[in-house]
Amino acid sequence: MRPFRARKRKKFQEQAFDRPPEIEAKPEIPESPPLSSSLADNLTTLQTTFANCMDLVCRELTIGQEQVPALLLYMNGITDEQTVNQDILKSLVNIRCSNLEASGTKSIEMIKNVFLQIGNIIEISAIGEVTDAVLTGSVVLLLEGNVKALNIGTKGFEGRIVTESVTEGVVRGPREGFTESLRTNTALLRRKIKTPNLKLEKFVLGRVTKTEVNIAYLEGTANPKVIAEVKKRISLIDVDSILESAYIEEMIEDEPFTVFPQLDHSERPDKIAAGILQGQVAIFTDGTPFVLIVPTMMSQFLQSSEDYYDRSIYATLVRVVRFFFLNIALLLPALYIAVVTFHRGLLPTPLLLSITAARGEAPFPTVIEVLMMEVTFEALREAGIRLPKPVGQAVSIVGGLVIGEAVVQANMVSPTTVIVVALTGIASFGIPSYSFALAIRILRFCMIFLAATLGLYGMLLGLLVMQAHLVALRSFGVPYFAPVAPFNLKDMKDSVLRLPWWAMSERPRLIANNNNRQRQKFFLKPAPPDENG
Amino acid sequence: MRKLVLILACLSLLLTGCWDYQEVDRLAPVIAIGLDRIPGSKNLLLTVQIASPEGKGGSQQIGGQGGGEGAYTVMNCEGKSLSEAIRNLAAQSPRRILLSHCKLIVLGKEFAETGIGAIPDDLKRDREIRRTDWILTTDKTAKEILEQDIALESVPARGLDMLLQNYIMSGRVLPMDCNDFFVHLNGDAQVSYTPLVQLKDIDKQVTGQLEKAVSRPLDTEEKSKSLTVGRTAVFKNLRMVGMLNKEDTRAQKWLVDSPKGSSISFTYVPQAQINGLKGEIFLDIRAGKTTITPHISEDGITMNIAVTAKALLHELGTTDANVLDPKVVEQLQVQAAETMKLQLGHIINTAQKELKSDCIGFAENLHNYYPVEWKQIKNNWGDIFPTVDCQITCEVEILSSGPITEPTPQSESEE
Repeated sequence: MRPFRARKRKKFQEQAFDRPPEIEAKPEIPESPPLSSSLADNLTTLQTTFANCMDLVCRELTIGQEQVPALLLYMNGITDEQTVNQDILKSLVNIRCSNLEASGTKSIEMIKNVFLQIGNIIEISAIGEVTDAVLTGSVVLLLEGNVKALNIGTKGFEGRIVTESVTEGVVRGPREGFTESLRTNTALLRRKIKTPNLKLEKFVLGRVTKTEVNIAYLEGTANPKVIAEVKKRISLIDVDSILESAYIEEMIEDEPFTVFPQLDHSERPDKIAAGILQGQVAIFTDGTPFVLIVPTMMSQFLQSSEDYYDRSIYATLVRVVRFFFLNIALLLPALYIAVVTFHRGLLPTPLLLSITAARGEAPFPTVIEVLMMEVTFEALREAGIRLPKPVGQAVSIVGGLVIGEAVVQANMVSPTTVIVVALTGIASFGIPSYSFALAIRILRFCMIFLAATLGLYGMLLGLLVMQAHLVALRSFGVPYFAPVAPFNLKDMKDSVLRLPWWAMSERPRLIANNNNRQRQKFFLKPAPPDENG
Repeated sequence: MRKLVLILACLSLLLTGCWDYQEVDRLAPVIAIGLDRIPGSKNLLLTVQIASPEGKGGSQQIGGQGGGEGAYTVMNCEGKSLSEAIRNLAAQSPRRILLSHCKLIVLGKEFAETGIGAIPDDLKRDREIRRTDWILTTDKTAKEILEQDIALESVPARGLDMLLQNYIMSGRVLPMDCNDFFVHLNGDAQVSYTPLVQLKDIDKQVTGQLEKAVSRPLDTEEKSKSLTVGRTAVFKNLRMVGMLNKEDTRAQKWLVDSPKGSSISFTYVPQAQINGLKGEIFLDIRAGKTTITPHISEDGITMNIAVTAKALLHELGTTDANVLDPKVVEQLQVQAAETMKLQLGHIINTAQKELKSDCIGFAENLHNYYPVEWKQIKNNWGDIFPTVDCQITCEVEILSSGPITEPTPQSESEE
């Protein structure tokens, strides 16, 4: 089956290649015209490029006793105004010494080396580089008679401050969450992992958006093959825009046609740090607080970062409960339909009688009842997410009344169905990962359909297909269903179970670099002091 | 390969279907089945007790012939065989007859006596009827039993089901499910037995007694009859051959199962060196074991029956026996064992002489101990069984006398 898909993909790529490119090819830096030694020429070129960009600031000035004309170029709003005024303009205006030559590259080097009180300065020599630098928030200094310019890093813009993560709250654990600013995010990570082995590699994706993407990994701990694969897949992306990490996720996942998410994401620095420390690779995208982490196994979607901060026994219990929730969310409505309409012999007699009594004169078949309620529930949930908070409450009141009371009162839907759907709803909120809960939501409807047509037989068929699909899935080469299939007893320490930290002395086998698996000393189990001293 | 998988996937969905799809409110769950013999070509009368959930809560629907509060309906239908009767029943019922919730199968007296014929086969073959259904015989007709209300439970069959389930742990009667019944019927002795359900006017009886005692008519409401299970019906070769009385039923349970859960009551008579009063003693057997060891010799077959029982002293009655005295306890134990022995002797006598059917498990034991010899006597077992000699030894151990040690003074009775 694999060659078939590979063939298809190749064909698609060829087609894309044959099409006349609508957008110009990515401007390659060497191909861009070099800077001219005439400042006026450069100014004209740049002004043409940036025509109608009113946020561009062109500050013309003269430097030193020779009165060398110079040009400062930056975008208003994405540069740090204070740095521009205090550290750049002031230093340039204050240059009094006379040995600035009117031509050659020495003067610009001298300015860079002697006068500017800024850390991050790069010499650039092409028009394209100038525009890129300006667009990313740097100040560019052009000097008359110089074919080189200075890219002075003054990136600074009003971003959101580091606040608590909204989607992944914890009772115990760090409260900080990632922000939309890439540098802040990598800083949050760097503050947790203080080793030069933490590597951050830069990619710029998107022809138009030029979004900066960083991959972060721990050299020596992460599997080199995975790192290489991540880099390869990211470098293959050639789109015009990357606005969120999901754009990247969809282009680098192993299997595009599946309901299951194959990359986990998080906005918690501690979760990403923990992943990197066990050998995963994180992908930071500028402009979003959601950081991708690969490779991902299914069990990770049932884990929360708080599992590692609570007592291990409690964390294990919670994980078991979540696993139970997962099954309820996936199977309960289907099981209800199957048992009530096909296999009533499986019900205890009193339950059969009370379900029958509760159904009363309900006009619709059980399947339709369940579908009606499920759809209502999904609609309510969707409405609750999108609406502003004050209105959201009104929705929940109406929804609660409609679902809980009126439908049953009007004898439209049997109360048992309402209980089943409500239980399913609660259970689906028990899955920590939102993206995984979405997959379960879709599969639940498939299961309902199978149960309604084929009963338990259909459900078993569905589960069988799902199981086969799950064990066949790979995330960056790592089996999705690990450590259950392929079974790995040592990795089971952190799957449904969560052993205490002193017992987890090795990193997961399937993720980490196998030459460097030990993470801590063995035999760290604490004990009371020896009484004999 | 891909095509094959696709075809298989489609077939697995299309070749089957929702043929047995049925909403629960279109079902008539049968809770009990009764079978009676009637004259004519369609000589089987099927009575079913159907739970009607609508009647459970409200009073929308008044139950059929069953009366009561509409929690159940009784329907009748005749037929040549069980399957035919069930088919005929479906013609009367707007809802589909569902047999998988059946709890009880009641055999009417005439039906049982004339032979249950093909019923075991029919019951075993039916997909919905379960082998764990209880089987009961009655000394009246099954129809009467199924139309009778039971105290505390709205659906009588469910009440009987609970009653029999309690009997598993403790009780004088050994409950029989279909499977055990059939196994015994096809067993070595071809003898089986079921609890006997009876319709008794207990209320009228006790009211009468009480009226005699107080010598005036009582101002109580008349109550309907009640269902009791306390005796055993014995089947031999698919035919009921007799009914055991209460004492024999209890002793039969001791023999084929164990004394655990039942009780012994006897009159205590203080003997040599111990003075005291007579009194009714009640012992509750908490643990016990029965071993039957057959022995074949030239004189014939002997069964060594050893019964041990560990019991709690429940009632001392009017006796003033000092239960702290080991000698007294010793005498109590000996007398209890004597009582047991007597009762065991009685049931063995009844089985051998009266019923001439081995409802006490001798055949199985013989088969197990002497498989070779059993093959030779197997065909004549019916003749040999009454001649089997029995050696009974009983041992009773009183474990505790309850939270009090001394008997409560009964000065009034002495005056």
